[in-house]
Amino acid sequence: MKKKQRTISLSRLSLITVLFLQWSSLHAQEEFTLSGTVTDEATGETVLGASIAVPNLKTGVVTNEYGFFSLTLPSGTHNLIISYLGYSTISREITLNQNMKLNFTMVEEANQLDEVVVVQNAEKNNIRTPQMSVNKLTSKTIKKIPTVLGEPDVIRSILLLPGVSNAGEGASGFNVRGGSADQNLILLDEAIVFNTSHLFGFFSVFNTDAIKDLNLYKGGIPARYGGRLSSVLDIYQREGNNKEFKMNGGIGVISSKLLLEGPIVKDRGSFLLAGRSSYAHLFLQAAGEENLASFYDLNTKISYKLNDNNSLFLSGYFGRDNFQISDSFVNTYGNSVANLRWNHLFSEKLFSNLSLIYSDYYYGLELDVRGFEWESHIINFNLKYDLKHYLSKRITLDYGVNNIYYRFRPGEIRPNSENSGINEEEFTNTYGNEFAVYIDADHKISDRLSLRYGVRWSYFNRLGQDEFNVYENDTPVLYNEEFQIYQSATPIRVDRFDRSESLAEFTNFEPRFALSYLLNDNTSVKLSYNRMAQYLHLITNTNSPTPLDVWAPSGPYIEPQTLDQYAVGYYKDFANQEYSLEVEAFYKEIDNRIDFIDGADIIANEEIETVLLNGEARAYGLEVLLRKNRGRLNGWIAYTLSKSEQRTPGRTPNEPGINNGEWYNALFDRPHDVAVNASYTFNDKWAMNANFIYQTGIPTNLPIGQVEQLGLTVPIYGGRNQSRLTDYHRLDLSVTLTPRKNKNRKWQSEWVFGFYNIYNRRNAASYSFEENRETGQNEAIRTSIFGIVPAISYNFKF
Amino acid sequence: MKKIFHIVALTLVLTSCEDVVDLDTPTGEVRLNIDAHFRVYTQEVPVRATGQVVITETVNFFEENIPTVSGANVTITERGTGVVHILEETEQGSGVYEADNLNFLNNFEETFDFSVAVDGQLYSATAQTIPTAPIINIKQGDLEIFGEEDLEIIVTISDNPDRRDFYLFDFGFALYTPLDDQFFDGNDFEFSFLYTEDDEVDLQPGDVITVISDGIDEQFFNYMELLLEQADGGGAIFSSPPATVRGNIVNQTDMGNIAFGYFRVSEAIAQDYTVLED
Repeated sequence: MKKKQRTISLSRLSLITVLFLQWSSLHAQEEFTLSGTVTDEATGETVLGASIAVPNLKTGVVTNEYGFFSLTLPSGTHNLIISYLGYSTISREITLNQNMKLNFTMVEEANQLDEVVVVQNAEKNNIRTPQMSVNKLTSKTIKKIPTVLGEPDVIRSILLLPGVSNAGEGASGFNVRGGSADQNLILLDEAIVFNTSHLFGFFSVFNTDAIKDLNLYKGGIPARYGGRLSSVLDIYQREGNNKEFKMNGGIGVISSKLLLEGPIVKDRGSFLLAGRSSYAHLFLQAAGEENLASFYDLNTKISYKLNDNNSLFLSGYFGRDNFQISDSFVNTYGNSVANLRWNHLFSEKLFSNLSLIYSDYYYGLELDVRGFEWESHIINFNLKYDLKHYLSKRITLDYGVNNIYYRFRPGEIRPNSENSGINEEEFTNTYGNEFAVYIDADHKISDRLSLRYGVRWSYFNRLGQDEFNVYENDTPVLYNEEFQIYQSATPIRVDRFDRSESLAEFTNFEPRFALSYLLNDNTSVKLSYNRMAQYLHLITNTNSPTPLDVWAPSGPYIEPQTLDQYAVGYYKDFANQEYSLEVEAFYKEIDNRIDFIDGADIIANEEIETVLLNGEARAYGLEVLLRKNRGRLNGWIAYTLSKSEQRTPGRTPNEPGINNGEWYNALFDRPHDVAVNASYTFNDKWAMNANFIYQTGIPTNLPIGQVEQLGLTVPIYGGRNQSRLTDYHRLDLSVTLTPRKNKNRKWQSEWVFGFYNIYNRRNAASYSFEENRETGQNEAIRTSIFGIVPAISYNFKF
Repeated sequence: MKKIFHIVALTLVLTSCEDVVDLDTPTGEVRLNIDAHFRVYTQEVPVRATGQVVITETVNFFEENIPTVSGANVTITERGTGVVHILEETEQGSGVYEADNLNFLNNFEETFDFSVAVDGQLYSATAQTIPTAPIINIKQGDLEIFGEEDLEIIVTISDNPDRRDFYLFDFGFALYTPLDDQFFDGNDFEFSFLYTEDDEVDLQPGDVITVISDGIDEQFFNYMELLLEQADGGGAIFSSPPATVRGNIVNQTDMGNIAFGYFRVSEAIAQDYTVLED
C-alpha cells in the first residue's frame, strides 16, 4: 500500500516537473540572455556599477564588481543605453534571437562643461534598487577632496558622508551611525584590512591612485557581507592598463607616490604597481633630528584573462609605519595582504568568484630604556566562494560560502641585547574559525516594487589553545564591595587544550531584508532590516583605536556582539536629475557590547577578560543628503542628527555596573554632524574644491574635584562621558591648476594647492588636567592637532 | 607596562600643540582624602621607619586652598598582638598625624589595621609590610627624548626569583616609577628614568638625589599606575578614560560616603647618587 502511494506521488511530481519544464521552455523560446563586460576603452579596465538600461522595457542592470552583467530580455530588437559617470553614454540597438555575449567599451568624457549630458551619477543612490544606506565614491571624487598635506585620502573622504564621523585629527578609524571603529568591515579587493591608518591616523593606508572606487554600506547590508556590525567599506583596486604602458605619480609635501601599469599580454593581462613613501623624515634626519616618523606602502595587482569565461587576479598590499625616538624607542607596524581570485563564468547567467586571501597585521616595538623588543600579529586565511546567479529577469541570487581561520599572536617579548634583564616570553596564541553561508535574492516584484531578502548563517569556533585561564565561578572580573571597585580575578587554574578541541562555539542566523517602492519615476521609499554578528573585538578604550590595540576573539569569556538595525528612507531626484535628495532614519541595537572596568590596563594584558564587562549599545538618527550631481558647481550637503549610547548594568543588584548601570553617551556620540563638499570648475584650467565640517564635541570627562596624594595633585572624576569637548569645525580649500599646454602632449600634469583648516580653528582633541609644576597652579590643557596647514602637490602621468 | 607604551603617544604630541584654556569644572560631593604611606628601611642600622597620615577634603579642581581635617582619631593596630599605636596631629589645623616611633612596622608577619575616626565616621584599611629589591647600581646615561635638559638615571635592581614582585621607585620631587617583575623575574634588571624640563627639577652637577625602592603589592601597583596617569593629565589622546582612583580606605559607618586615599607599608631601600657633568 505504502509503495503504491509513493508511485503515485512520484508520477504526480514528474507530471508537475514536465509541465514546469514545458512552461519554462515556452518562455525560454521568447527570452534570451545578453551578457558581457563593460570596460574602459583606453585602459581596458573593467567598469564597476555601469548601468545597462533598456528604456522601452523599463528594465536594466548594473555591472558587478568585476564589470560583468547579465540581462534576460524578450527576443526582438531593443535599444540599450550604457552609461557611467564621467563616460560618454552609449546607445546601441541589438537584435536578440539567441543568448548573446556582448562586451561594451566606454570612452571617458572630456571636460565638456557647457554641454549638458544626462548621465546617471553613479555616486548617488539608485532610487530603484532596494539597497539603501550605501554611499559610493569614485577615486576621482576622492582625489578632488582637499586634505591635510595634500595627499588624497579614502577615510577622510568618507567622513564627509552622512552618518560617518571620527574622533578628529590624528585619530584613526571611523565611526558609522554611532558604532565603534572595530565594527567596520574594511575590504581591499575582498581582503580584510585591520589597520587603516598611517602615522596614527594622519593618512589612510589606501593609495587612491591604485583604487577604482569604493562602496560604504551603513545599513541594509547584503547577506554576502558579515563579521562586523556597523558598516562595510568595500574598496576595489584597479587592474592596470592592458593596452599600453602608463606611469603616473605625485610629489607632495611629506610624501610622494608612483604608479606603473601596463599590459603583460595586450588586451588579456595587465599589471599594476603603486608605491607611496613619506620622506619628510629624511629632511629631519639631515637636520639632525633624532625623532622620526615615516611610512611606505606598496600595492600590486596582476590580472589575466585566460579566456572568455575565466580570469585570474593576484593582488597584494604591503605597508609599514615606522616611529623612532632616537634609538631608545622604535615602533613599526603595518599590514601585509596577498589575494588570489578566480572569476569563472559557468554560463551567461551564473558568475562565480573564488578568493584565497592571506593577511598579516604586524606590530613591533623596541624599547631600549627597558631593554626589550615586542612583537604581535593577527594572521588570517580566508577562503571565499561567491556566486551571482541571474536567475530570471526578475530574480538575481547571490550565494556563497566563506571561511576565515584566525591566529592571534598577542605578544612576544624578547631581550634586545645581551645585557638586558628581560626574560623571553610569548603570550598564549589564540585561534578561531569563522564560517558562513549565505543566500540573498534580488527580486523585482513589479515595476514599482523590488525586494531583497536573504539570510546569512555564521558559525564561530574558538579553537583550543595552550594555556587557558580558568577562574572561580567562571568569573574573571570581581566586584569588591568593600572598596566599591571592579577588580581582576586571579586564575585558579590553567588548562591546556588541543587545537582540534573547541573552547566555545557560537552560531547566528542573520536575516537581511530590503524593499524599495517607486512612487514615481523620480521618487522612491525604501526600508530595510539587517541582523549582524561580530566575533572579533578590538580591545580599545581610548577615543580612537591605536595601532597597538589588540583584537580578541569571542570565547568562553567574551560573547559575540550582535546588531539589529532598522532603517527607512526617502529618495528623490529632481530638476532632471541635477539634484537628488536622500533622507534616512535608522535605529539600531547592539547586544554584548564590551565595556571596561575603571582603570583597566588593556595594553600587553594577557588576561584581558579580567578587565571587561558586558553591556549593550543603541543608536538612532536621521540623515539628510542633498546632492548636486552635475554642472560647474557640484557636490553635497550632509546633515546627521543622531544619538549613540551604551549601558553596562551590574551583574547583580549589589554591583553598580558602569555609571550606575544607566545609559550614557558612547564615545562616538555626535548629535549634530554637518558636512559640505563643493567643487567648482571655472574653466579647463582652474577648479576649486571646498569642505566644511561641523560636529558636536566628543564626549569627555571633566574632573569633579582634586586630592593630593604622595605629593601629587590628582584630579578625581565622576561618571564616564558626562561632559563634552567644544564643537569641532573647520573649512578646507584646494585649487587645482591643469596647465593648458597639457592638451596635445603625452605628459599630463596638474598642480594642487590646498589649505586645511583655513581659518585656523584650534579644535580640541582632548583636555588634560594637571598641576603646572612651575607655578603650582592647576591647569586645563587643550591639545589640538592641526591649525591651518598649507599644502602643495604636483601630479603627473604619461 | 602601560606607561612604557604611552611613549607612543608622545610622537603625536610632537606634532600637536597645547595651550591652557579656561574651563568651568563641576564640583562633586565633599569627600575625605587620607594619604597614609609608611616605609621601613630594614637594611639600615639602626632600622628606621618613616611615614605620616595627611587628612584633607576634596575641593574643586581649580581651588587653590585644600582644607585640612583636624581632630581625627588616627590609630594603627597590630592585629597579632592587639597593640594600638596612636598618631597625633602635629599641630592643630595641620591635618598631619604622626607617631613618635614606627619601628613596630618592621615585621613582615604582622597585619596592620589602620583606622581614622572623625565627624562620626569610621574609616579603616589594612596593610602588611611588603618586601622590596635592593638597588645594586645607579649610573647616569645620555638619553634625551624631550630635550637637552633631559637627565637619564639608570638604575639596576636585583629581583627576587621566588616571588611575583611589584615595586615603586621614588626619584624625589614627587616623581615615581612603578615596576612589575612579570618580564624580568629573578634577574638583575636595568631601567632608565628621565628627569625632564617639565619636571621643574633643574638638577646640577654635584646635586645629590635619593632613589628609594619600595616594595608594594599588586593592588597598590595598579592604584599607582592609575594615579600617575591621572596626575599626568589623563585624557590624552591614547590614554584610557579617566577613572575615579579608589584606594583601600573603607568607610565602616556609611559605605556610600567613600574616602579617597591609601594606607600602605613598604620595605624601603634608599640609595644616594651625586649628579655628574652631562
